[in-house]
Amino acid sequence: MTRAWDKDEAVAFVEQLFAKHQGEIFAYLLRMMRDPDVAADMTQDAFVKAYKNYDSLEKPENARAWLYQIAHRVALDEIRRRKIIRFLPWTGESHGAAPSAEHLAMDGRLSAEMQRALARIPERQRAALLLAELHDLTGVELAAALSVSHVAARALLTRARENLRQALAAERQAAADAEADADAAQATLTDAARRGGMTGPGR
Amino acid sequence: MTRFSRIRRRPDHWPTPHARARTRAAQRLDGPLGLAEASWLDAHLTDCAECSAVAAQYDTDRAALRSMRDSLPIPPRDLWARTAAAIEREAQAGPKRGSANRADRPFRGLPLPAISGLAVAVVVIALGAASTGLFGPPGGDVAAVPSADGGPLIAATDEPPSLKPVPTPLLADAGDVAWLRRDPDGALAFTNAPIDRVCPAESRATCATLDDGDESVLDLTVAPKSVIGSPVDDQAVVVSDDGEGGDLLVVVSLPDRRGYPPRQTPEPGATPSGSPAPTATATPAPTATAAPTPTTQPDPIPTPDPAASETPRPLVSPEPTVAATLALANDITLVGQSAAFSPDGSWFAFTARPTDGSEGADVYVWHVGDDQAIRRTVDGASTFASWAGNQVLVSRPADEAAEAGTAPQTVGIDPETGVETAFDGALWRPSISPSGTRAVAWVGTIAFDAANQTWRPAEGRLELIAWPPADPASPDSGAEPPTGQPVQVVASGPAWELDVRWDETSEWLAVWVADSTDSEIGRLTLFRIDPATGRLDQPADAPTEEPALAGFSIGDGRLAWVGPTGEDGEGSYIHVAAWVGRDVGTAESVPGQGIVVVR
Repeated sequence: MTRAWDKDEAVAFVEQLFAKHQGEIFAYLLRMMRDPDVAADMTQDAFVKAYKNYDSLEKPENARAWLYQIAHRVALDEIRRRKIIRFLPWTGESHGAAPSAEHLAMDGRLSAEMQRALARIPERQRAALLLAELHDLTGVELAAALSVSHVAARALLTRARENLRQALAAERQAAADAEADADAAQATLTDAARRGGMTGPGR
Repeated sequence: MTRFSRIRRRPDHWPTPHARARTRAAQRLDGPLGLAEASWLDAHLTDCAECSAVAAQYDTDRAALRSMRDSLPIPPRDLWARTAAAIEREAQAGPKRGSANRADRPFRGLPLPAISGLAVAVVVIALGAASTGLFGPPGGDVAAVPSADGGPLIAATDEPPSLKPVPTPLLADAGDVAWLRRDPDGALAFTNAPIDRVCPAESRATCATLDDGDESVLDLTVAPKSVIGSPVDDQAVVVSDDGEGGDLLVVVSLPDRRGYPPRQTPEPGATPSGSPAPTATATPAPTATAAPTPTTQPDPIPTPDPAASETPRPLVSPEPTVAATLALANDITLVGQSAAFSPDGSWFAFTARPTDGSEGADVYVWHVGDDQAIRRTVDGASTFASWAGNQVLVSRPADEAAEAGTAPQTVGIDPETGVETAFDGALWRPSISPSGTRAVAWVGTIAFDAANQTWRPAEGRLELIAWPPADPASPDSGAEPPTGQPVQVVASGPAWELDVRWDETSEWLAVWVADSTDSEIGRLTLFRIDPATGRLDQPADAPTEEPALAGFSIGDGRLAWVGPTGEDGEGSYIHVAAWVGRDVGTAESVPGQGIVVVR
């Protein structure tokens, strides 16, 4: 049985929820979207949705999983919408410039390699991994947040781990190939410079 | 941390020991394995360096993720101020449940083109999202007509192409669509295609067709009429003709559908009959056995005799998964389009009657992992409606002896024990939303179809109602909306056969209604429930009364179905509607023969 919606009660409830969970919800959305401005907008959106749907929360003790469910849906919708946005003409604004490693660490974000690897796996699997490993959701909370069954949530995690392993391996291989190419290019330059020295003045 | 309870899986259902080891190594990070599996895994990792390296990598990756657990990024300092302002704007916008946004679409039983040469029923797996309303790049989609002197084609538009707004194809990222198709050589090709692009209606003619995606060959010798996929793994139930006038239901594993893992074994003690957990059988052959005898207790379907059958043996290619086929039932004819797995994938329910017509329809349930389905009702007048959680909803007439229309009733049945719980209201085949708070049901009378030995809607309409229905003695009866709220009619008019399904968000639903000319062809409509008001909504470009063959798939941001074969004999198309927010776009495939989409 859901609760009747009361505006003042809803505002007070959301304010309390925000004070308690804004950090982790923002962190989750930032880790999904990799853009702090977008993550902030989406966090705001998630709490507004919580306010509007306050009466759908059946048990206050499930508020955290319920809030993650809302945030997860906001993230999925935005991911799809951002792919559509790619069709729009370039506006000149810069989004998503590559952050430095120090910036990432201070921001509490993941390493560049891990971010790129996570970006390769399907977003539902990505969400399952982030929620399980960084946000410490229980099995029941994870299933609720992802709107899937307990069995399906576990299956998502299993697939996510394998896909992440493969994605990280691909990232490391790409990095190794790039380094090998750079070494080869350097060796060629060095060799050319040495030959040029042999024909210099004084010989 | 133990996040999930212990699971088990039949050890013989893995393509290779290495696949088993890697899956178990990943699973043990989230919960304990059974003692036997844990011991097996330890032994395998000791002997297999490659799997051991994979398991170690899982641990390393997990540690890398977890190392960032305690470093929460700091939100902007003004986030609460912004959020509070947004909430205040919402509050000032008016009451939370505002004006009615009702879609009242009376169903018209329009005649559909005759379908000739359609060898196989088409089942469509739903596909991803689409959005509309964006302008594309200059110069797109300009109609051309021949010039008066027969010279080069000229543009038919009045304005320069660069100024004409053209909706652009939109990237979508909804769930994959999987389907089966019979190729010219007769082989059955299984395709799992991503949906990455759909178009608004006005640019559909220039929209690229769906990519075929990954294709595998299934060595199924039977022609599938419908395929119902499990919501949690790679299993599917394939319905096909048994060659003797009835239907054959077999369980197969489909290749890497949606990235689902191979099937898990059920928890111990879950087998209803109490017998030991059955092992997978290899291609059991369906036989011509006697029809099940009605008794007061539900009884399992007789075990098929492999020596007696001349019916084609369904085989599934062993690649890429080891696929064991399992015949769920025989000498039956499937009734209706409601067959479905339970939301957790542990049960499968369907309506069927004996092929020889000796009895009416009953509801059968199959517990995943068991050898056969069990007939759960024995009155010969029951129809499976939908799942409500793990409870089977069954509809039947209130008065079986009525010659003309009679009121229906619906009960919930525990598939394991058969215990029934009655629901209030004269409802027929309610389809419950995943949230469990709404349903679409036929409200009216039903009548007996003697030719097919089944009950069908007679007078009434499909309505969107609250679930569970309230006590009819109370002012807010289930068949009537709460006081002050208008009735939400989904469809009205003749409805020979119905199929109503929700997506996993409970925000979208698709309704297919067959007219009386052919129960395999009907009209498909996509609806949306406004989350704020709970009212029916039909976004622009959402499919509305689209001609569609029986069997569609909805979920993960998309709806997919197969259109009837064209009058010129051109094959069927897979159609996809996908959405983001409230925006809907569509795409379609190239034509093909014998297309069946996995639901």
